[in-house]
Amino acid sequence: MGLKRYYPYSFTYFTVLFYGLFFIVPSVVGLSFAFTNWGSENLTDWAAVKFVGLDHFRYLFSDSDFNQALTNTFAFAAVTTFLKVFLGLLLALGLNRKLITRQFLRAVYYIPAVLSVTVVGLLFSAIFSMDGIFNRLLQDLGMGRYALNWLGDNRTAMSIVMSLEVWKWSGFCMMIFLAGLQTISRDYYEASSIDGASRLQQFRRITFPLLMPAITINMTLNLIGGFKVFDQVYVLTNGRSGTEVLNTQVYRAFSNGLYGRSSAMGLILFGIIAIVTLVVTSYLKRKEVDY
Amino acid sequence: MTKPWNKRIALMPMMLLAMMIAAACGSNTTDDSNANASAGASPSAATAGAKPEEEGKKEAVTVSLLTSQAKYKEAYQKIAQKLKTDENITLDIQVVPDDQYYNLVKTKIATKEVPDILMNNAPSEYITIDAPKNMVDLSNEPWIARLANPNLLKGTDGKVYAMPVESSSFYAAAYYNKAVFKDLGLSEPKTYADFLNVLETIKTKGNGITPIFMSNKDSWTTQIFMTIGLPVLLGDKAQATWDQLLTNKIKWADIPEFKTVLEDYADLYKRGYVNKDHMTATFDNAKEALATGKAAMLYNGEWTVGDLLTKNHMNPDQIGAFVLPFGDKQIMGTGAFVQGFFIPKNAKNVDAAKRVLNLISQPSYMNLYFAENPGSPGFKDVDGGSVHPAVKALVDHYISTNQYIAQLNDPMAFASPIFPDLWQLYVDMTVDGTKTPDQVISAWDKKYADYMKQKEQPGF
Repeated sequence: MGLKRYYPYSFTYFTVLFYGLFFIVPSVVGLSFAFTNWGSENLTDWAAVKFVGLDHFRYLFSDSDFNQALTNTFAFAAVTTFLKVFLGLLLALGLNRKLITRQFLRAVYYIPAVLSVTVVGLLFSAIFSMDGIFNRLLQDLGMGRYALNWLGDNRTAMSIVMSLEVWKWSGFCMMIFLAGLQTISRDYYEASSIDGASRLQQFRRITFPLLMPAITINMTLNLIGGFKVFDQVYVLTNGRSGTEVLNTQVYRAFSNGLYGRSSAMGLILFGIIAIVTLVVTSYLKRKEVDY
Repeated sequence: MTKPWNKRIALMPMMLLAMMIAAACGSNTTDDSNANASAGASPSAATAGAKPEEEGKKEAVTVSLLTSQAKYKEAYQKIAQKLKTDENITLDIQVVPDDQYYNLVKTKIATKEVPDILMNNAPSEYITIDAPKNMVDLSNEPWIARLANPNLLKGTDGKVYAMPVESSSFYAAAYYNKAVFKDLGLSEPKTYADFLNVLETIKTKGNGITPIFMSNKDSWTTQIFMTIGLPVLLGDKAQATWDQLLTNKIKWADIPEFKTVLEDYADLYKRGYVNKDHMTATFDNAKEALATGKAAMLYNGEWTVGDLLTKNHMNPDQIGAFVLPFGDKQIMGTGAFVQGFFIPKNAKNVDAAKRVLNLISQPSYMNLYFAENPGSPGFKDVDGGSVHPAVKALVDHYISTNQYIAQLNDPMAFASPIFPDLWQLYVDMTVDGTKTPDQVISAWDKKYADYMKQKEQPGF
């Protein structure tokens, strides 16, 4: 309440105006094209842009390829978020201990996050190709019969794309968890040790509850990133072998000159991200505690 | 009690908007970075930075050329070198993987982030890239008078939007390794049953040799079997069929020959005649497998031969070609298109690009290309070099005797922007349990009708 005296709301007017004009208005206008027949034919001929109501949405939800892409996007977001958060937490717990190689290992696990997706994609393509390192390893271990064209097989391609995402971003989650872990006072652990708490009990009663804000951040960022997946699929499979996701469909519709259709897909993606993120975030927020 | 709730309610739209922006922004930078990374080219898009140089020297100019892996030939580096030495022009060649090229070009045009020159099929891609709207009219360029086949390049408006490399191209055939055929005592098949017998023999007696190599990562290679097979099977009915399809008088499901060619194609995979890594293999992999004798044949166009000789250093005596006898017919499918250089209207340096095209149309430049890739030159005064006997035989037996038919893509060019979707369905069919020929037809009928309706075509 006291702050109001020193910082009046009028300070925000310019920022809100700037933000609104250059971010919010274009975004809203862009998404409103989802209800029109805007395309390469009438790109700048605004008179020829017609309102088509929910036509694009009707078509999309009756299109088996789109529905498959939708399912894949959900699966990608859910599986990779869970794995990234889980592995990131394990890494953070491990590297929060007093190890000589702690700083080095933290850097090693974080490096994938700063590498270009293209580079990582080429690396994964080479590893999982028919005569790649992974199949050779299987052969050397006497399991040659399990050798597959991993990125060209519908049963495995999506898993490889997911593994790239998990490999790349687990280190990033680890960093957020490490920051969270360092905010927890040692006093809690000392006090609980005196009371005879085991390591597992300390984790369940102290670490985990106090890490909830970091978990909320990680879950939110990873879910949004997961739903927006594009680069990883584009580089590894270009949407083939059952790996089509929402954004590869958006890209294809856009390059086919169907801008209204691609806007409709974008709107659907936005809706999904909004609903899922709001639900997950509000649920996790309720779990946050403050001792 | 109500105040915090008001704040929360006020915050909700803000959060929604923030997420809307996050969703709308998406990640759209991969195409460029990927294209450049794959090409090993400089990341900077080409710019026309004419810099003042010392007196007596020509002004330094950089012109960008966007092309795909399959369209790119080593000879273009020699042309670039000559441009640099003689004219002080840097030709910044950006090579993009085939499976990304088609959509990338259209996206670049839509977003106006275009190179100075881009390669594409002409005139068949005039529709896909909406050449009258997006490309510079080249009808009055000085090289027009020297064209060997000027009518081929004219669009429906009578204008020329591309400078050609050749005067005719695309002789669809199975290009094969003669050594493999000789070792197994095989000869060129004359009927479809013979063709299957050849494949079966290679599979059973070839000691691991792939009978026919498929490169489905580059789906433009996948489509050739259907794109050629369907018109050959239709024969005299072909033109009437295309007309009815374009006016919605029939569906694709009403064409039994379409189902036949799809079943024939799927059958090659079911019988195990195709390489196991077909889903991730590229056209380059296919040529390498053929040149090294790991594969007996591949199905593509005559440019395969030029690449086998220059890129894979295959012995010219070991390259053969035969036309696939779809429906036991000895008819070759061909295309009314050539490789063309286009200048986008939004290019930063249209004048320099025009100058480059005029220069490379000259015999001193084009001869560099045809010395390595013999064929039919696009210009009357260019030496086409000595065409490989296998390609010459195709021309003599099929083109000269009128035993050829136009590929599906030419008469159906109006729908060409969504052909990659059709090719994707073909690829889906090659994986067991994904799509049957009937499902491919049904899915394509839906996509095709939707696209034609979007484009407000009469009858849809």
